[in-house]
Amino acid sequence: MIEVKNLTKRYGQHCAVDNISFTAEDGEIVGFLGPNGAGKTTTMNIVTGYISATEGDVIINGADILAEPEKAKRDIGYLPDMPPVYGEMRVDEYLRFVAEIKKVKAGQRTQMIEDIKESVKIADISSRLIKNLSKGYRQRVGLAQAMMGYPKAIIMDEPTVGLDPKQIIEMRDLVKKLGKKHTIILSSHILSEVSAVCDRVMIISKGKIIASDTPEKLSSGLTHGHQMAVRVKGEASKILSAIEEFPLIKTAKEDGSHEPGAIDLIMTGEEDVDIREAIFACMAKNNYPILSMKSLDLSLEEIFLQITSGEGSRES
Amino acid sequence: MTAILKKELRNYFNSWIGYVFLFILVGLTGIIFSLINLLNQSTAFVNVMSYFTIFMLILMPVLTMRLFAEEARQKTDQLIFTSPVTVAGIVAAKFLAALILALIGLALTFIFPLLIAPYGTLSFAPVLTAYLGYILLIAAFIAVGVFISVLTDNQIIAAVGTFVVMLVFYIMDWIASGLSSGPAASATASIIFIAALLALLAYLIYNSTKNIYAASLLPLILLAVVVALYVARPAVFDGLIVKVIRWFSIMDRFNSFNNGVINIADIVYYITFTIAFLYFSVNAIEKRRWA
Repeated sequence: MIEVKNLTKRYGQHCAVDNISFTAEDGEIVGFLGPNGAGKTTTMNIVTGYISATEGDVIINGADILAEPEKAKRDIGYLPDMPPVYGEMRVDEYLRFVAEIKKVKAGQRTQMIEDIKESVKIADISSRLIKNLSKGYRQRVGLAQAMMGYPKAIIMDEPTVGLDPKQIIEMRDLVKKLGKKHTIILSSHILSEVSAVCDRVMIISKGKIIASDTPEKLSSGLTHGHQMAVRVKGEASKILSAIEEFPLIKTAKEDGSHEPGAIDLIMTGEEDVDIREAIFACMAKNNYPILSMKSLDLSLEEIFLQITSGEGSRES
Repeated sequence: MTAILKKELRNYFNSWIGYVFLFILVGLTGIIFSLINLLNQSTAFVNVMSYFTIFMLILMPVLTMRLFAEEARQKTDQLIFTSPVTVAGIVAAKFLAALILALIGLALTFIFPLLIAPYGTLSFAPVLTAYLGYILLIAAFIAVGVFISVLTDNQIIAAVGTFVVMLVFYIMDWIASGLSSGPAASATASIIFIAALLALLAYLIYNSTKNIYAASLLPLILLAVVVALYVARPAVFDGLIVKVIRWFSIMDRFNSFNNGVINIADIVYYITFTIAFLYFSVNAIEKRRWA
């Protein structure tokens, strides 16, 4: 379990992390979501004991990271944004070094290294020099490093940056698998990624946690069905005039035609008003078949704007 | 700690640095040995050893430059500083790794006196004291190198910085003898020197506490003490600058080892010097993490 209390980090006048508190329970996957410079990496660096906080406490399984750093650090694996690998070492050599520095008992090292290589799928590159590996493999070697000694908590800073789509999916599966046994904190600036793997999401902006909830609640609270992309079969001008009879649909904008005989429209209602039924009623009444209709996913940026505007500041 | 020590040693021999260091040290010693001992038919190996200082001045920065600078550049310091190891343990491990490699080099040069020993009367005692002296001197140089390597993430800057600092220590003797006469030896110059040191102290206190009163009060009190002492007994201040520089001179003390003299005070001096710089290294790392 990771407990963070009133964490603050100041660099001179600049406040990188501003009074953050949270707990991550055992077996929970917590995601930090936020734009660059929000304080995600700084928070992780403090939680892992790489840098110290200006104020506040970090407690890992009952051990304070400042008072008992060695005890606390035994329970933490850290994969920073750049995997901390030595280019001039071979993969096996590197993992052996990591096992030693993480104080894995001598008798267990070989077996643990083999097991971890198996689970992150790097067994076939054991004897290669790390500097010759691709970004994806380096990331996996970095993850193997973080898993070494099976720490109770694994902290990952943007683990999927720079990976190809297949590797991203593999990485997500791996994180989910790890989440069954370990407490995991990961950061990302991609909403879909966080919602795919995390039990709980914390949105961080300007060093503050501005929202913390399950991904479902977070996005359902933010997508109100007030903006829909609809593909309707029929003539554009007739459809648009039909829509005018339904005041719930405030605006309808043509978004080109991607299918013969049909047009794409983006319809918007008042905020907090679900216009899906109105769209159906409108099209049904005039007998224009709806070919597809989907809610426009809010991008992270829009969610940010929404959440931060709710807090009264719109600068971000 | 042993993990890092092993890693650093392995790294010296996985890269070219370890071999090049040993090759250059033994090769240069061989050349000097041929010139001084073989061609002159002399058994005074101590004369060969007096060149070690120059070799070390050039070679030690190469051994120490990457110890911390490279970790910072590759961001692997994030691994070692988040592992269950103390900072002091990390610094000690890296220091020992460089020291062990340097000692291997020194041990290899011991072949040369052994080569000529059967063919003449070689007095081993001064050779052995000189070796002891070099072990201590090398430890001090490596500690400086470790400290400079902590301060930067650029290996070249670390190497050049270490070289310059060692060079200053090396020529401090000459500086001291240059200052021992003339205006710098006067008591007034000493007072100015002390005042400058106190100003530096005030700046350091202000830098770490941001409290202008604390920063000015302590140095002012010390300055008052110094002025009072100057009024009472000005003779204390004669040639003070030279005394201070002499005290810091790393080479001045070294010559006695080369002459076959073991002085406990000198041994303590070198060990203190080494520990002081290792302590600065630990503090510099901690401070950066606290900043």
